[in-house]
Amino acid sequence: MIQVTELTKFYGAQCALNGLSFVLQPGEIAGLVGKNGAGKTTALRILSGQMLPGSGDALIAGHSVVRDPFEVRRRIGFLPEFPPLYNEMPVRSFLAFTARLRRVPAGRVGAAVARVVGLTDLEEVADAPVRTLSRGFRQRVGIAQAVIHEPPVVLLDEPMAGLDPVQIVHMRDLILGLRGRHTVLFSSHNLSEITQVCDRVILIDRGAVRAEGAEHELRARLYDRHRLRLVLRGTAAQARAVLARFPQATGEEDAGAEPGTVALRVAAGEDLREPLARACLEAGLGLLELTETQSGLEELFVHLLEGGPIPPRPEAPAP
Amino acid sequence: MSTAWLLARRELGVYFATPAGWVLLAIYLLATGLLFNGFALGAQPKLSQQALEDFFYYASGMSMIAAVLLSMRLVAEERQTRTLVLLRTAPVTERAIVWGKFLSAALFYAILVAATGYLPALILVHGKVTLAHILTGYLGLLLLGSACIAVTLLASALSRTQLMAGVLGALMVGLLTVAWMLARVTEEPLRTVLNHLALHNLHFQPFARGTLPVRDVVFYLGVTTVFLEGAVRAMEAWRWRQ
Repeated sequence: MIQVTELTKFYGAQCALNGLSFVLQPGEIAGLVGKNGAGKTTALRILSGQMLPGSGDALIAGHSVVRDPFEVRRRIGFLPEFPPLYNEMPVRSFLAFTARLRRVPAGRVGAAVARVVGLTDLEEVADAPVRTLSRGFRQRVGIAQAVIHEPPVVLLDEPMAGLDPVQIVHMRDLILGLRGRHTVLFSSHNLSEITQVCDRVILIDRGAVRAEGAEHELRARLYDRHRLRLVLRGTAAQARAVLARFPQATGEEDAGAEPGTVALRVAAGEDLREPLARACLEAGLGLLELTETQSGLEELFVHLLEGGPIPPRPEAPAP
Repeated sequence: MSTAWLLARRELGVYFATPAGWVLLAIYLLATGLLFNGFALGAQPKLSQQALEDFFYYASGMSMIAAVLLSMRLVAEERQTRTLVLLRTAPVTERAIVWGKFLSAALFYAILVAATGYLPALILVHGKVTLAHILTGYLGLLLLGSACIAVTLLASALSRTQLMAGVLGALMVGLLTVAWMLARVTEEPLRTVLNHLALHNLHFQPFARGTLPVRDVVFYLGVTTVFLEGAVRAMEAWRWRQ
């Protein structure tokens, strides 16, 4: 549904996109992640037909953003970071206007407005002027205008920026509600939200894709070692003595242990929970905690953006 | 055209939904009324035909200022408030955007100008002027206004802020207005070119006198079309320039 091929874009001498390439399948929800200036907004602006790339191309539902931007605009809904709303218009009138603008037939405008008002839960403010709305409602109106014509592709630039926790939950549910009916590409700094909403994460840095895949897949590729947190009643020396029985494991003392206890972060090439628990009990140490810790997307994000290596994608097992 | 009309209707609503449109209407009517009373009628007795001609002369100056003020916001404001992205990501051509915005400003301008109708009506009732003279004068005001709107719309399409658009628009309209003054201090053939380029002097006077010169109608329509097309190109170029 979205095929991005070697996009480049320069602002003067500054390179914003440097050979950006990725593919999104129909119905997929993908998150574009990257630090400020990584090229997320530039990529979305090009995909939405607002600007042209320096080189490369992108196809939206088979139409080129370079050669056929008008057809591309018929097939997308776009919500920029600051929702483009006309403050003086009531919500319902604004949505009816955007429906006509996006070529919804006159006879179906009323039904389209009613559908998106229901979808985005805007009933209580539907007749209020846009200028009176809170940030959360403005974002919802922004989503509503982006999907009013039922486009196959929806592009959202930082849809959760500036929202409070409750509004973020609503926005997350709203985006999840688009699953299946639209292919959704959105950028965000809110990594935990991306993991909850997206089928796939596309991590970009300095205008190019640094890594992509489902979160668990990326974690598996980057962290091939099992990581455990071990908390024992005893001393650090006793804990190290137990760990010394497992030469394949490494351990570091962890902060946050209560007095009389010791906490260790253990890494090993295999799952050591059972043998480690047994060894602790044999040594007469009180086993207070033994849990597998998972590296989250934040850690992954920092790892990659600090130049950390990306192990190759594991080969699929032979049938 | 339907998209342009859709945009025009929304824009026209903005003039009436915000104080700016009403304030402009009030100031325009006040200023035109004062000029009518102070200069068109004046203290000395004059022929009603001369009074009507003077009315159109002074009204044309106010109308040019009003045209600049009401059209400087058309594109620059949307760029400033980041709502232009709504139009740029919709299946709407730059030509439809420009024509829609022009239509809205031209319609509001027509309402402004029509609201002064009671002034020449007073001359019609108390003097000896023809309705055709009044209608021709108003046609001149509309054509002059549409040219000024088109010039300022180009300025607005080139600017990031309304203020910048206003300054640039006023500068462009001002230069086109005083071109006949520059013609006085230049040699031929530049003198003729500048004289014919001047927005107001040669081209508006026939309308104020009550004649309908086809040549000047074509001039104003030509200026309007050229500057609107320039605005379309400026909007298209923005995609490249970003």
